[in-house]
Order: sequence, then C-alpha cells, then structure tokens
Amino acid sequence: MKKLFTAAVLSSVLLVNAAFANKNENVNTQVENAFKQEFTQAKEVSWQKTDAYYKATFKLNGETVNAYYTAEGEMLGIIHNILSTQLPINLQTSLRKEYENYWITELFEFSRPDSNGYYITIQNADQVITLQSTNGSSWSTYSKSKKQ
Amino acid sequence: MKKIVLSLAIATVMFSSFTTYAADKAPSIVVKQALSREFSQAKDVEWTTVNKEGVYQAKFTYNNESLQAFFTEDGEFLGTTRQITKNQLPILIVSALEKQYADYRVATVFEYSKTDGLAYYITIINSNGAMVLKATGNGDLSVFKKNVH
Repeated sequence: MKKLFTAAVLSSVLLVNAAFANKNENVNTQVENAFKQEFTQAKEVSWQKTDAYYKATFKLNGETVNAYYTAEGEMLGIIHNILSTQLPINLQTSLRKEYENYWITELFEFSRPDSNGYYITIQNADQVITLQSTNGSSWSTYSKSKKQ
Repeated sequence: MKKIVLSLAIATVMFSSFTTYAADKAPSIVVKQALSREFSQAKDVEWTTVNKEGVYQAKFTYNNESLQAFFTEDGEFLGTTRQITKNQLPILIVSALEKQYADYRVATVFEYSKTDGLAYYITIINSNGAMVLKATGNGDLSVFKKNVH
C-alpha cells in the first residue's frame, strides 16, 4: 500500500492530475483523530478524498502543507512545496554544480512517517529531469524526458 | 573514530562555546582548492582552525547566506553548517517539536550537512531554561545538550 501510495502521490503531484472530488469532504473519526494527533498546531484544515486516500490541506507554522491518510487513519505521507533556499545546503550546491543551466519548475519535500525526501523538477531547452534525494545530501535521477 | 570526534567538534562549534583559533598557518592550496570545488561562488572567506584538531573552518558568504565549511589539512571536505529558520526545517521535525516541546520556543536552528548525511541542532527555550536538541530529517529528536546558558 505504501509503495503504491508513493507512486500514486508522486505521479499526481508531478503531473498535476490528481482526481479529487469536492473540497471540504467529511472525514471519518479515525482519520480526523490521527490528523489532530500528528498536527496539533494545524490551521485552516480542509479535506479532499479519492478512492484510495484522504488528503488534508492545512497551514502549519505559516506554511501550506498536504497530508495523506488511508481511510483507517494511517498517515501515508506529507507534501510541502518549498523554495530552493530551503533545501539542505549540500543539495543546493550539487544543483548549482551539476545542473547549472537548468531552471526549477517544481520543488517539494515528501515526508513519510519514517523518512524524509526532496523532489525537484528542472528543465533546460532540451529536457525535463526530476531528481530525488532521500538522504538530504545527494540527488539521484527519478525520471528524465526529452522535450517534444 | 577520528571522524566521530571531528563531527562532534564541528557540532559543538555551532554553539560557540567550543574554541576556534585564528589559523596560525594559512591553509594549504589543497584546502583552498577544496573550498573552491565545493563552493565555487564563495565570497568573503575567513579561515580559522577548530580546537587544534587539524580541522580548518572557512566562514564565507554563499548565495547571500553565511556558511561555515570544514576541511581536514589534506583538503577532505567534512561538512557545512549554517543557521536556518524554523520554517526551513523538514515538516516532520516541525511537527515533532510542536508535539513534544509545545511549551518551548525555538531560539536558533543550525543545519549540519555532511557528505553522508544531515542533522539539525535546535536550541529551545522556556521559563525553566534552554536546551539543544539534535534532529534528523525523519523527525527523530534527541537531547544533545541540557541546561544551556
């Protein structure tokens, strides 16, 4: 389930094609309790639902965050859009050294209960590359495609 | 073993109680090249040594931020520290802080990036005093130093 979720969420975020129903869906008590336990300071919470999971959008410490849950209240992951200056410094320097002529089109932090990672989509005139970092120190290629 | 000692020394430098010395001998060309390789656009570089451990510390400006990078005498890059804000912490750490240390406020946060990993050192304060926590990206918090003054 977790692996399927990772692939599904990353696809939906990276391709911006998540098929969510209405905003402000009602959630069951299990999900709501799990959320409140994890994010005690969350503000402006709204919920959306797909067939596979619930998504909470909220403010935490002034930042907009999305958290994903199963219907049983298991937290699957958190997506948090960030600026490149919020990346750990090793990831910033590595980008500057290895992808100097690329520009950033998407950058987010993807956290699961036991791990934290970063995904960045960069492009130049010829290609689009998505890189991932699961250790906060170095990037690896997640996907690469040529521009049409 | 030496790397662990150096790692602790660098972590401690972040809290200023650990002594740094003006570099009594200029860093070799190998060390300077190592800095240029890692941070090609470093500006306003100042060199010191850390607690006579044979570690050079470069303080400099990079991308409009103040950074410290650490190197052995042989030019091996050991890591970087920088002061960041609470907003720059991974979200799991922010969440863990708000759950476990709700009655504290965050005073300072340092990121310590090594070639093989990343840690955060967070000083928190309440009316009873201050302490330093060590955090990893997945939200694990441990007490690094108690009763900080």
